[in-house]
Amino acid sequence: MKYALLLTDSGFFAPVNAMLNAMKLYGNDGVDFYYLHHDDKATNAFVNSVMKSELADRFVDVTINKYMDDERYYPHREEGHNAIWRLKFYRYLYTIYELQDYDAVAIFDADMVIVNNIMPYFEIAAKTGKLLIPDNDGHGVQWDEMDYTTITQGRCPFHNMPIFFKPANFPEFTEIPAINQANRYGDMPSINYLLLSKNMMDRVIIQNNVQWLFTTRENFPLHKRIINGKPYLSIHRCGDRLFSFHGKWWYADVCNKGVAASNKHPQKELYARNFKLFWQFTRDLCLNYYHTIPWDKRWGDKLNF
Amino acid sequence: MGKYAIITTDTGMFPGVNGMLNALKYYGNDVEFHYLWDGPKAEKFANEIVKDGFFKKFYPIRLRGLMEEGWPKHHKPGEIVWYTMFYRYVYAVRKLLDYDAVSVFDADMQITNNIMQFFEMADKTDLLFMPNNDYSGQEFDECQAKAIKGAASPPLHNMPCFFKPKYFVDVMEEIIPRNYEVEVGGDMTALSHALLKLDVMKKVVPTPNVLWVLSHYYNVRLHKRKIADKLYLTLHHKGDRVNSFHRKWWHDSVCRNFIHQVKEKENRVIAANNINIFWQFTMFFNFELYHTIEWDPKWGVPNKFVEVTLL
Repeated sequence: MKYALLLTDSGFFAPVNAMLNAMKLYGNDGVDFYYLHHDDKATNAFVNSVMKSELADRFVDVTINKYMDDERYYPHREEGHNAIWRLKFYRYLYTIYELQDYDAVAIFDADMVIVNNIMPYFEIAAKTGKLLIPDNDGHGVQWDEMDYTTITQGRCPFHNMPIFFKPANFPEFTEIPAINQANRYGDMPSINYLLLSKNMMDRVIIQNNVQWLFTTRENFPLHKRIINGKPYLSIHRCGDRLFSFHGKWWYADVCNKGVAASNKHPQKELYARNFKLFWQFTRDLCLNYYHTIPWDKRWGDKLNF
Repeated sequence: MGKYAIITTDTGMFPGVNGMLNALKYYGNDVEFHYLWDGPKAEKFANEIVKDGFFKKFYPIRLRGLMEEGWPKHHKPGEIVWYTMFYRYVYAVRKLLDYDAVSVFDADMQITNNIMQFFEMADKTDLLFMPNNDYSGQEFDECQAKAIKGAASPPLHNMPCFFKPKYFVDVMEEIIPRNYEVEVGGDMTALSHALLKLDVMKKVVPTPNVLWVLSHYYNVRLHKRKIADKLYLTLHHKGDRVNSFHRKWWHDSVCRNFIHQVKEKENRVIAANNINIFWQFTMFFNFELYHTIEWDPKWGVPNKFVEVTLL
């Protein structure tokens, strides 16, 4: 089986590097890591550094500037949106156009961190031929009650990340930019709109949110556990392990402000506990494994809680 | 759609089995239900379901007699209740070998979702899906056989498990010998031992306990939600749907006892909320849908478990 993980990045580096390390650390072997980015100095320096590391074998560097004028990749140029915005849509097109021979591809956001072995999900996507997509528990709408109104309001039953699918089975993904052109809410509503408008629900396997995104952060006390010498995150002491989490937790300020904002919440201790673990995991996976990068001062290095 | 079946053995947990049957139909699960029973009450229940006809693919199978086929010598002849737990795995790989996927459920489970995608995943892959056991301090990818002692110790919960029978014949046939050899715990222990002995842990995909078993019934506040005109159970008010939960929550003494086992005040509040919801779901699936059962007074008074005292 031939698998790939793909993400687009415009300068996040810390979680991207954490994910690169996590792929090796957790035994996610044989997965090509496609890194799609603009051509800029900082990103090129990051890429060059990875290419000199032991992670270079599976690292596929894709500078997208050469595609920017290609009508096939950017059929709908949107005024008022910059290249970073367009990058979000580009990843679906790239997967369908360029990765057709892969048995399964996973698309992650660059502000996610992988914290487990995720290989079975490539296999499930490859062998069922279905789209594995997580529940979006931030919006309160479920897939069997979604309609165009909820989607255009930005209330989506599915999160757009992480998704696993066999590219050859989903040519409809090339329509995502055009759908966005109509509603302009982003790629998450556009994917939801696509699933609804094309009646694709019977081609979907629903992943849970709690293990893949952990959108609602105050519900479980997360625990750090060392298993086989590797760090894992689990919900309560002996509980289910997370596969990944989502958010800009490598920024100390994001954590600090998040805790401050939860000050009056009855579960405020859980916010603090979980934010701290996200912060620690991102830093640990970024700084202490196979490929390391200097910690950028902008990200901050101190939590004040 | 493949040929899929649920296997349950039962000697008298009718609210669990009847609740499951009603829920399978309610949520549009297109599966066969193989009901392996023993005892006059279970026979009566099986006959009622067949006569009612609301669940077309209900297949009652009498355990006694069937279990003697190839069964190792009973330690205590006559104690069929204990041995039925082990037989259901053997049944899956001896009698349902041509099925695309099967699932083993305990009789004290309540299904609360459409679970067809799990049959499909088991059908199309050679993986075994079974829940994490979050009472165990061990993990499926590090545990050693010598550390699996006692009912709560295995890293994986035995059910609900989903698998394609033809890929797991050796594992399921190994459960009874493992139990005879290890002699601690029940089928949950024996199943983990079988997986280790045959080196097939790598084929296991742990499913989240919190969405299938809810062993820690006091850790997250559950919500009862109406979605597209159906009743669902979700993790918090916008969260993931729970697929099933475990325990005899139809017994009001079970409900009350479990609440009082929770020591921390905040967790006890969550436990009271959740146990009330478990009770309500069990009542809903036994009394408000296609087939209702005769209520045994020993289970308490139905529809009266509304308020819980938080002592």
